[in-house]
Amino acid sequence: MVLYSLHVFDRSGRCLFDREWNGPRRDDGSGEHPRLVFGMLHSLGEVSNKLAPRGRAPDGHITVRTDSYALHAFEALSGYRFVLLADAEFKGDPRAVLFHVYAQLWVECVVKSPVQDPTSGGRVGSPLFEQQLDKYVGGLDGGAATKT
Amino acid sequence: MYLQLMIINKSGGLVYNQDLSPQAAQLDSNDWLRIGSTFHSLHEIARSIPPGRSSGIVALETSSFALRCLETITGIKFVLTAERGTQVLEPVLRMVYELYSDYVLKNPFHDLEMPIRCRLFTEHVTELFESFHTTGTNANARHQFFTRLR
Repeated sequence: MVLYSLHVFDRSGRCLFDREWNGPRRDDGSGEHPRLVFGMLHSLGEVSNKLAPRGRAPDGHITVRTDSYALHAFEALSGYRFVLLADAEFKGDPRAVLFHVYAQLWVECVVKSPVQDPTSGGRVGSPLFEQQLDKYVGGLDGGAATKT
Repeated sequence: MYLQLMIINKSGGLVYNQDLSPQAAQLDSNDWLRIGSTFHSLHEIARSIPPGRSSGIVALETSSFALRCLETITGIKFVLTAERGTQVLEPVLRMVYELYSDYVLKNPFHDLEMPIRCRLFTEHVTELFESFHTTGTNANARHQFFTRLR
């Protein structure tokens, strides 16, 4: 069970935060990679809404799998999107992980912080959030998480 | 249970779609064409997310349904949507692929990559999914599927 990266996007698709662990760096710093991830998820969300059977309301979670990775995304009602990239055999419960990152980490450390403004659209630099996130992810991975 | 079946050719055009249940989303043919080509593009984009090599989208899961995609080496994609909790997904796609090879590819009047209008294919696919709904078990359906050849 290996977590590769976490991205946080706002409602308009701007990447507010990203962090990578365990493996070669995916993001080359140009901002292309987060945009690709967001774009793909946004379109997949639209397709899912069309394909969904009648009478079931979406709960904000979506998982995409290929033969080499699994992408888990959670969209909160406020529009924040949390995207987790993990290996294909992720054994944990990605919904619980993402919800924890949102409710216990993001809301507590960033939204409630008087010095952070996640609505500005710029990258959020919150050492507390990063530290808590690394600690949480380290706990999940069995202590194997190393920041790339 | 199963909701919809789609077959997308290697250029992203939808060549076949069939509703498999009354619970399935009711969409018109333009919507289906759009979904087919959008899915094709997203399937490709998913390859570039990781740094190494990756296949395209194999599965998609939401709270209301699950989707599986089988991409053959010729580039054709068989896409199946089903309600959450449906047990058998990948083997069903392989069965549909077999039916495609038998009743579409071997049909001398079928043009490759064009919309599929082969009565025998449609009949066999309908029969296959009806057998799942009536028997409800994997073992029975597989047995029935393979005995049809004799």
